[in-house]
Amino acid sequence: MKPAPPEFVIIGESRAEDPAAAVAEASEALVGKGLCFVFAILPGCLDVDETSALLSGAFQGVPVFGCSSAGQITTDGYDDQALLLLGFPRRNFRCASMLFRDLRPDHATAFAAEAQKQAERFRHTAGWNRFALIVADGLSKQEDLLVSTLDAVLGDVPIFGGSAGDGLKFERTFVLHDGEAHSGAAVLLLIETDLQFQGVAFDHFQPEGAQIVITSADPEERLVYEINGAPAAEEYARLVGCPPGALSPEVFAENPMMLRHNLTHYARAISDTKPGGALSLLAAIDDGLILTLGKAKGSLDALHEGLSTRDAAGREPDFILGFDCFLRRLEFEHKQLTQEVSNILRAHRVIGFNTYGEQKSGLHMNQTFVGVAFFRPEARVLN
Amino acid sequence: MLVNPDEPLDVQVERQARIIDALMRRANRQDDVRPSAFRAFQSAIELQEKMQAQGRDLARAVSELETVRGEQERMRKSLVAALSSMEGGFALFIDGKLELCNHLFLQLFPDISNKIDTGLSIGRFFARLVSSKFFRSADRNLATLPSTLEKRRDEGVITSVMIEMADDRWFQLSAQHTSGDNVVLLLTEITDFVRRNRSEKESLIDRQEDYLKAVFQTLTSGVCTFSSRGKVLMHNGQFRELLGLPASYVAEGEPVTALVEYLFANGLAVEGDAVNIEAIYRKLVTEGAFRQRVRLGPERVLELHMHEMPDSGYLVEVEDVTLEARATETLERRVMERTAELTRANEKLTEEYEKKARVEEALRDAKDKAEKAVSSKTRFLAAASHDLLQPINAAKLLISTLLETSRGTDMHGMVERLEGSFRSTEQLLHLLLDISRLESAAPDTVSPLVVNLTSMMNSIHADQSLVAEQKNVSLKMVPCSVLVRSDPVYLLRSIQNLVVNAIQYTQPGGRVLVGCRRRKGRVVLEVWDTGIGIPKRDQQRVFEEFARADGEKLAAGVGLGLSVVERACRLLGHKLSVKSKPGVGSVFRIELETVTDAPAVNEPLSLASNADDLLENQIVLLIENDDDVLFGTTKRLEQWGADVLACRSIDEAVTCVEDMGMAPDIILADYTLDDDETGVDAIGRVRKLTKVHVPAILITADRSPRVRAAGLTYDISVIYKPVKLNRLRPLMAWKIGQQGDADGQGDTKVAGDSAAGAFSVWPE
Repeated sequence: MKPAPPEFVIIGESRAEDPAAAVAEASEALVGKGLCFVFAILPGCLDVDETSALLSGAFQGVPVFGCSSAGQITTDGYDDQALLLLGFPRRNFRCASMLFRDLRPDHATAFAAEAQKQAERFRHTAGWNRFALIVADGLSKQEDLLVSTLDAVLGDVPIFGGSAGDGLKFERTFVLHDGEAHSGAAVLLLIETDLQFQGVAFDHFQPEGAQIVITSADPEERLVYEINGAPAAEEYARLVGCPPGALSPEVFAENPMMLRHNLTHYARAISDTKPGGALSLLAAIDDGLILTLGKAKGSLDALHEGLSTRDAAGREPDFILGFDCFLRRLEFEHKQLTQEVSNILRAHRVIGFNTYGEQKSGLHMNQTFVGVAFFRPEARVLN
Repeated sequence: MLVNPDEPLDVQVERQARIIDALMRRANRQDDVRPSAFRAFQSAIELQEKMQAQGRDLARAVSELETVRGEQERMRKSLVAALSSMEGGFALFIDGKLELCNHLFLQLFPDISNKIDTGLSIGRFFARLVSSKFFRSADRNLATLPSTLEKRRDEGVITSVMIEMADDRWFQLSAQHTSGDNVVLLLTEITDFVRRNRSEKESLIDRQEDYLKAVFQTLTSGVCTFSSRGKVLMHNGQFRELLGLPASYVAEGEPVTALVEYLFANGLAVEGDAVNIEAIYRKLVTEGAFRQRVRLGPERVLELHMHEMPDSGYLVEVEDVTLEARATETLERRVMERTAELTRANEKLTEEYEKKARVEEALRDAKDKAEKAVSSKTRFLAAASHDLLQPINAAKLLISTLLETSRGTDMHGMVERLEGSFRSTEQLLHLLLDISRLESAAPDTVSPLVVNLTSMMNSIHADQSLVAEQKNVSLKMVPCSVLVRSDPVYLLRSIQNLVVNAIQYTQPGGRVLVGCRRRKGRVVLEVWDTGIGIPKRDQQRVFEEFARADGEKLAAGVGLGLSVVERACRLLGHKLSVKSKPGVGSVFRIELETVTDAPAVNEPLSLASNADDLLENQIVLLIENDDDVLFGTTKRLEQWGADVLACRSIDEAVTCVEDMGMAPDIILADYTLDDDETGVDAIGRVRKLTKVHVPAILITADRSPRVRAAGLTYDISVIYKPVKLNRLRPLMAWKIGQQGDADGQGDTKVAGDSAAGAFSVWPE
């Protein structure tokens, strides 16, 4: 059974293969609804340029932001061919946007300064709450630096986001800003809402595997050449008990490497193997690091528990905007839990997409679910 | 094991060396400051963790600064929440600059919302509000509001402005200096209130106007109001109709002068002075109202009332009083007619009254004359009777002497008849005397006393038994021992007359019965006879004078007896009645009031049947101024064996007594003596002279109470003329016997000592 649609976001979906048809179908529900902005999640199957051009003209000047994705979380759960449009009504949302082109480490300071300026100019509305959404090119390998810098300048404004995906192809990812698709770029949205919201972040891995030491890596390119002094892929395959030729995204999904910092473990996901036995990672890495192999445990329970958030008044969220690592989905698919997970996502009114990485409060992470749960505004009672 | 143990040892060693190297490098890179992705990640983690740790520390540490900051933060959040939840707009100015302005405020002025930014001065803020196309008006100048606020900054008062917005929306803008240089603006929507108020007012005004109009139109009198300048304001249809005005004259704004001119031209007439609008208006202003009756045309009468209105205009009310006026006229005419009628009637009545008064006067004269006549007649009758009785009394004495002397001679029969005729004459005279006395109706004619009915009945029986015997009628008396209140003389006379009457009308062999019946508190004395009876039709007539039973011979009586009974009973208040049946008999009844506890009058109950001896050799002093009577009485007394000293006056009597040297045994004195002397005086002189209370009898024709009272006072028995000798003799014997008893007791006989002596009455 499908729950009642959310009240504070308008959702348009289309699985049409033709961009025009898809945009027409998906935008139908959103047109003329007094929107502040539209967040578009593009499936890998649609041509990004064409689709984004169509979207920019679809809403009579309502700005369209968004990104390409590695999969979508629609009102039916997981999908990978859906064009998903989220309309944020003007009644409840105000928004300021920034496009950061040409993501490079030496540009980070400039971006931060601009973000700070924007944030200062973005007028506060009494009683409304402020947060930031960020979508970045998922192949740019710049999210760590970017979000940590932004987090530093935006102060109290919590940042949530996901890295744009490209199906499982890892070729090109895009972010959408004002009807244009950009690669190597990021879009920052400063958002004010009268809704209550809560950040959600969880995974289901325990650091229970063997410890390893990265003996050779390229931090800029997130490449690991050697683990324990041996070629990385070969050594990784040996440690997870897998023939080196059988390494696949599914194997990577189920066997993340976890970096411990004090008491917390952060998953470092592997996206691919590179010629020469190197492993390509989706998060920052360095040589000399000691990692632990993680084991998945109680994934459904963790999902259900993580989504069962409540506001101060004990109410369920109106909807949860989710940034879900594509590796999680691979893991669920591999474990044939897709339908159950979809049911849980649907039951909790999660919409969003599968990322190449998730951002929360200055951190870029892998193999997690990051979300923003929105609750209806509190009753206006003086206290 | 970090290194795969399956590898050859040299490989293992090499790998270990690499591990060590990597770790060493990493350790050496800790202080590297170049930006790198991992360092960014690492520093972000560290930052986060640091912040988390710091947060935990801060949460644990109760730093005063942090508490204050938290308070402030909470306050600010509360404020922000409060502002957002407020129904109205809110703006806060700090140091004259806009600090906060809530969304609602801006929503009201969407066209300038982008021009209202933080830092805007109050003056500019208001200027922008006024410039908004949604702003309509305000009840005070918003441009000067900031300076007003400045002036009032220390007073803490709220300055309120009512603002009208587009679409008939209303707001109240309240501005107040709060602490420091802060100014708070509150914008409250009062649209509903304003609209409701307005609609209430409008509907009230509409209702009142409708009501007024309806009242105006339904008034039976014509009403028109004028402004103070004399222009028509409002009128009703009746006004036009009553005055016959064309509509154009009462259209709003028409002058009153034109209206009045039209009216005069069309037959309006004012009684008295000609109408001067100015004068009327002046009067209206000074007195507040004005009233005038006018005529319109030949018939209609209208009444104009003018009242001053609060706006110094005036209201004219026209009322058709034609009918009323007509009715009043009719009424007045009728009243005049009626008044004239009444005046005439009054005159007539006065005339009649005067006539009646004259008649009354005449009647009164006639009555006086009649009364005088009756009075003189009564006096004449009384005098005549008295004068007649004197010679008869003398004649009777002589005749009785003659009768004694002629006994055994041829003349005796003639003398007897002479005596009988004289007796009749005397009887008749007595009746006449009684009637005249009763007729005079003097208040002292009768004097009720306590009377012993038994003794009275006995004496009557004694008197009449002889007559009854002669007529061979059985007369029976049933004595009744009862005391009644009545006049002894007239009661005796009444009973006697009834008995005489009964005997007279009863045939020989018949019976007459006298008896008493006791009733409650009264006694009824009845006289029964077996006489001829009285027919019903005559039963009331029998008491009239000279009424007699049919066929009865005149000689038997003159019919005055019952008339005396009737008059006496009427005067005494005794009820007299008769019951009779012709051929069977009659009964006459006198109802008397009984007396229970009064002492009975001491009187002789029985007379000595043989008193002759008592008079033998008794000295009787007889004083009588009439020679005939003196002579006759002396002869009679001497026949009874008494020694009589006959005197004509008191002096003679005194001389006789002195000559004799002793008191007489008894004195008989006539009351009326010559030279205004009385028998009472004579008796007194003798008693005084002899110092003996000599028994005395006064003989008189004067039946006035004066004599009786004197008799009572001086213990003198009174006997009336003409004296019945057979009554005189026992009385004398009784008196002398009484004196003898008193002497026997050795009592002194002094005058006045028998003041308590019995009063007795001795009828003939």
